[in-house]
Amino acid sequence: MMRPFLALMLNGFREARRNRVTVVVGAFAFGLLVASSLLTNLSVSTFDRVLTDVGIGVMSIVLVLLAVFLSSGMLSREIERKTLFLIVSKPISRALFLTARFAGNMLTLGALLLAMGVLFFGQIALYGTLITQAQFVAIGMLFFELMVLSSIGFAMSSFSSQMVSATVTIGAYFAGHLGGDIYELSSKAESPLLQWVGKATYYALPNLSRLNYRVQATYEIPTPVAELAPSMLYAVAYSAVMIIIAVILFSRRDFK
Amino acid sequence: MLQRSKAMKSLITLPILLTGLVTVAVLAEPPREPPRGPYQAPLLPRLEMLKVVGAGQRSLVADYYWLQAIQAAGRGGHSLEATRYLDLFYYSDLVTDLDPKFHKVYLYSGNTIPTNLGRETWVNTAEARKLLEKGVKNFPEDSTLRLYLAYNLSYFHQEHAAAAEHLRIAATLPNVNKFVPEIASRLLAFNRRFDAALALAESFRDNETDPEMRQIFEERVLEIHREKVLLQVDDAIAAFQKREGRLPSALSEMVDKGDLPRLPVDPMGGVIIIGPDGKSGSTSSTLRLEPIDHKKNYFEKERQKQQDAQVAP
Repeated sequence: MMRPFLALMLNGFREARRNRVTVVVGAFAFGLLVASSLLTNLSVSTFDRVLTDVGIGVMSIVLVLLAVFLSSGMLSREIERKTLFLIVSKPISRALFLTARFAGNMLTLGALLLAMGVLFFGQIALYGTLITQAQFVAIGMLFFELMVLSSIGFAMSSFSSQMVSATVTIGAYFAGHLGGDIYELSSKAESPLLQWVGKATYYALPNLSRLNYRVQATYEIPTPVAELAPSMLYAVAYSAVMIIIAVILFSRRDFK
Repeated sequence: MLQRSKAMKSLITLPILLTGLVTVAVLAEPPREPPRGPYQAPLLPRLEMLKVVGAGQRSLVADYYWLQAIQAAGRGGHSLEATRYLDLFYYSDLVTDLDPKFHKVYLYSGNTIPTNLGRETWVNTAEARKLLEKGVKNFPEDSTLRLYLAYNLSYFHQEHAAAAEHLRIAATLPNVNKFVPEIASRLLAFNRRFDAALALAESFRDNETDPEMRQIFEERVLEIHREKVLLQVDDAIAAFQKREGRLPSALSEMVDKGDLPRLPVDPMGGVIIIGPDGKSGSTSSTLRLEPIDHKKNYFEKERQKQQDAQVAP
């Protein structure tokens, strides 16, 4: 069971590489270089902060977009190219196929995040600014944010088109970061029903703001592991639920 | 025939292409300055919209507008308009709404926005005040922000009581500038908050290890006591002048008429006198505990310069 899983996962990684996703790292490096050169001229005494914000911010925007693109298009591409039929005809369960593909997806994103992280810290060292624990935390937690988003993309793409899947995943990204506002607004509602609906929506949406440690990186605020661990666990659990939903929907799907 | 047609075509297209390229090259210019009439605030996106669009990237969005703020300050430096630093206010206000903990913005913009039009005529001070008040709200433990706000309130808005209160708090904060307690006690005394002024000065005197600074606070305690006496005499002079329509000839006259209960004594050993401007003073020092009037100092210096110029051949 492990061998096909690994084979499918690595296959997914190779396929992403064939799709030239590595170009993204090059684009990121170029963007970082141009941005930092401009920032040295534009910024006044807040260079460290701006460099950190731009580096981690651009990294997160690029990788979130990539996560949405890769996860929402994965199954539809397999169906379109008919490669899916080759796999489902083999003695491999659909659950295994889907989870292996998800793992491959996360491997791609993880490798890109690592490469971007190396570039980012390289630049920080080059400019002689401070390397902080908060920066490592922000980049590390971004992986978990990408995991949650990818799992939503997979769940959506298991039963809908790439377009719908991508739109919903992007919506989930914004809603996940603004969930706190939904909670706040609903608690101010007079109707108990509205309050209940608002709170239910808040808990159903992925709480991405608890995985966002970019503000701490801005202010060089260290975060204890005791605080990070529950957030990591939350992300893994939420992703697991989404992947199980994807497996259920995908298993019931008729490809005739 | 076909070849001639082709030649004709290239004869037409080539000049058009060349003319087009030359025209574009000649007319090319750097971006134009947007036309501006009477001052209008820069059109910035609504905060709510930015919070939604920049979900998860609030620091990055705040940084973008902070860089815009710096550019606005740079543009202001090249202008002589009274509104030259107003753009900086609008950008800084947005930045601090997006990221209220962006400390640098309060310090930088709060000091840069007030604009001196010459002869100590200041504008845009209310905008700077708004930003500094926001800064103090977000950083109540920051003595520098409180000091800047106190300066703004006292000098630009003549709100000495509010300034004194900020200085009183600032004086008790760690890493405070050593001159803050001295200025705070001065303003508190000016606002007749003698108990607060004395408590502050005495606490610094008792905790100070540097003998020179200890001496300064020891003197300040006595100055506060003297100021209390002088303000009492000021009130008596004002009451006398209102009733009699003239200044009292001596302190004893005010005692005789019941404006003062007894002859006032200077705790610093000086003799209390009535100045020609109707304010009391003491021979122990010509300076009173009151805010420094920079505007008055400026005009006195100007007058002195003019006098010197007239005297010189």
